[in-house]
Amino acid sequence: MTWTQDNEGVSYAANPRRKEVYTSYAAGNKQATRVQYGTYGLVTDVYRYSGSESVPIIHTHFEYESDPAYITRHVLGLVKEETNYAADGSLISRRSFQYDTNQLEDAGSVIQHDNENFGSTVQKGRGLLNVVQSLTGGKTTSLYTAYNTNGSVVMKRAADGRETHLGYTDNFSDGKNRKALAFPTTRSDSKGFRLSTQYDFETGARIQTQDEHGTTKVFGYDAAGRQISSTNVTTGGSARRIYDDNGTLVATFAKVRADFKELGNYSVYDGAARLIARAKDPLTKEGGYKGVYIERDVMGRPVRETKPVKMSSAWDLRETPVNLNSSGKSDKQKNPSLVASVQAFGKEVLGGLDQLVNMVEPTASAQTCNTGYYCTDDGVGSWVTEGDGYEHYEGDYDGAYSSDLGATWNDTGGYWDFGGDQTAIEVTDGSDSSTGDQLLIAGGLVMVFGGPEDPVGDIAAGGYLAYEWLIIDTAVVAAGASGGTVQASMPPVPWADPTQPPGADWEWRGPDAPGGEKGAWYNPGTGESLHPDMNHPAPIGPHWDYVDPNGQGWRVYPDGRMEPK
Amino acid sequence: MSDAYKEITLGPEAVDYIRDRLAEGKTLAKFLLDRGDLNKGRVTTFLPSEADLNKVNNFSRGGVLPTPPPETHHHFTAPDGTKTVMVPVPDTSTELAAMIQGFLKQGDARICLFESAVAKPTDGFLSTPNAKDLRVLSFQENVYYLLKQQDDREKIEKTLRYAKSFLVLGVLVHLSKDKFLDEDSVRKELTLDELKVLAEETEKIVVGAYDGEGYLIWSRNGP
Repeated sequence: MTWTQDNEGVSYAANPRRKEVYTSYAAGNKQATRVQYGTYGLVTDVYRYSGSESVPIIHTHFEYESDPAYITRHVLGLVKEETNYAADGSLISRRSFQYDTNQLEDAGSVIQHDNENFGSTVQKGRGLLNVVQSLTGGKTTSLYTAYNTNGSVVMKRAADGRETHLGYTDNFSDGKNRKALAFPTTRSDSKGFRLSTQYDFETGARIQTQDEHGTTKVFGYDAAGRQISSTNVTTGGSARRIYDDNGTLVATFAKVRADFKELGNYSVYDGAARLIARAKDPLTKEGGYKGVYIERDVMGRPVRETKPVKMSSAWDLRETPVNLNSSGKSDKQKNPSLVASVQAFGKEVLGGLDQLVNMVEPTASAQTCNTGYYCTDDGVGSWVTEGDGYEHYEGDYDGAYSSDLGATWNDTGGYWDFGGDQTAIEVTDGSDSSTGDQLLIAGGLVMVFGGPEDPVGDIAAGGYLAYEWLIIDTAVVAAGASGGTVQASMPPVPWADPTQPPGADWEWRGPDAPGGEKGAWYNPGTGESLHPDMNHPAPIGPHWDYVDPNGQGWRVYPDGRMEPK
Repeated sequence: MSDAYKEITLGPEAVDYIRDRLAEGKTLAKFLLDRGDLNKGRVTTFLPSEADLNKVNNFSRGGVLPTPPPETHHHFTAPDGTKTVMVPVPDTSTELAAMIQGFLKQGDARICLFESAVAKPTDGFLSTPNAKDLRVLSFQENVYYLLKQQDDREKIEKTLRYAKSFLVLGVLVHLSKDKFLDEDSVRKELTLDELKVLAEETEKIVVGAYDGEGYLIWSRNGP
């Protein structure tokens, strides 16, 4: 490694920084990085070499904002453009950054903010990043961000045009208005998602949230500021988290509704808060506890992970732990040290549970799961180990679990019937390359079948989904509606005779006679309306305009399609 | 208005369309129709730059806005195996909400009022949690949703959603008196005189158009 500094002629350190880094591996391969610096010691070029040290495999060039509005304020190092070139000099990608180009939203008088010198009239010179344009593979995408006069983000617009708006009006649990505007208390997007959040003034911890459907969740914390509970006031579902004395064993118990079973997950961390093992309650009476041990090297990087090891309710091993190799396939070779590790893990969990025993009531299903045999998966899905050492299960839940929840298997449709509306949905999301991420909506309970790792995020990116609880594996991931537009149930459109009300609770409102163009069928109890637009010309064609109880508008077509509007 | 949108000034046929919609409305709409300066006002709409301007004067029909990109389409498989595609209907409500917020923030004595074409004050829906934070005013059988200066974008967009039906009608008013400004979140009854004053002091009229995809904005000329 070689170094440079502002003045290489002096014998003392003057802003020292790395100039060249050479790395040689035991296997014989090499790589190098050379860095060039420009004005103010800012990095202008980075050359990365592999093998040959004469031709870089990637060259990254940086341009910086040099407008006097920034320089005179000593706002240095705002990257204006970052360009990546291949070995032959061809362009790989480019990202450009624009600052202070948008009008600021005036947040008004805010405590501890210099409104006089940094009010709405001062736009240039703040260094607020408004636009990021990326050019990769010939495709340009833009991300926009808008701010208020406090410098807080008030709007983000993604490349697909979806806008997210944030509001900062004080909403503290003690009800006091401090004109702090310090926390994002409202969040909404152009797809209908709304969330208001209440905070604790002293700690800044999130105390309560409420979404656009009125679903309210309350969060609790211990004296150390760790979240220990999450309760859905609307449904009675909850998740509680319990820590042992040193914080290395964490047990989480969740149930989707007040009258549902509570299922536990247990995680063991090393002293550096790195996950080293985890286990969970069985999903079925026939199943058993499953534990996973993650072996880390001295750097803390995961190097090995066992397959889920079956245990009894007393946490005795019921099978020899087996490593997963790099391809995710089982390594059948027995490893004595691994056995010891997993046994130690089991003891640690047990020790932790002993400590927690007065606080935790083991779930009924957990206590009855002591078959002494391998607790097989349902055979539909499979365990998948991620690169970060985490593992998740892709596939169906054990049928018995669904059955426990009161569902019956619909063999024709290939889904569990939880009652209520049933819609199997394939979400083709833009956030990953896979298609057909299958989400099964079943009477308000959503089970994820081989779905994306972040289904909520994916749905928020434009999906359409309504649910009360979203469960992945045994963890309750989210409650309430997704970030996407809520898909309404098919309204009772009177296709056969628009002059007849859709139901007993519906009334015709409007100047025309029932079924006419000027007016709509209206449900006074829910706020729903159905307006016939049966003479609409192509390409849209005949349809009904439906407003659901959440105020979301839809076009409903004769073939059953519903398009949000 | 954001760079992605452009404001288009419309001809006298747009005033006719607004008149037709006002004729379908209720008390406030009737007072607006009585204004003598409707023909003198300027009618505009705001549409994305890639909108089909050939359809811009066909106010009753949709299809003006471009179809959202394929990545926003969603593929569904019904339990019976039927596959279908859901394509979101584009609209400009977000931009309208921004415009309303911009108007309200210009000063204290500014309000926005939407006349519901379908709701009645006795509707049970208005007492549900979904509607509890809407600021509802009423006159006889008419329901009006009120927005004021302090309302954030979330509230404006929610009010707009609930004000939508087969007819969207709103007014942006610069009040000469402080009426409506000292009350908050109350179910207030309006008087006929108050509605008349509101209609007279209206600076802009918002009317839904393009089958819910967009809006026409009538603006008063002069003071």
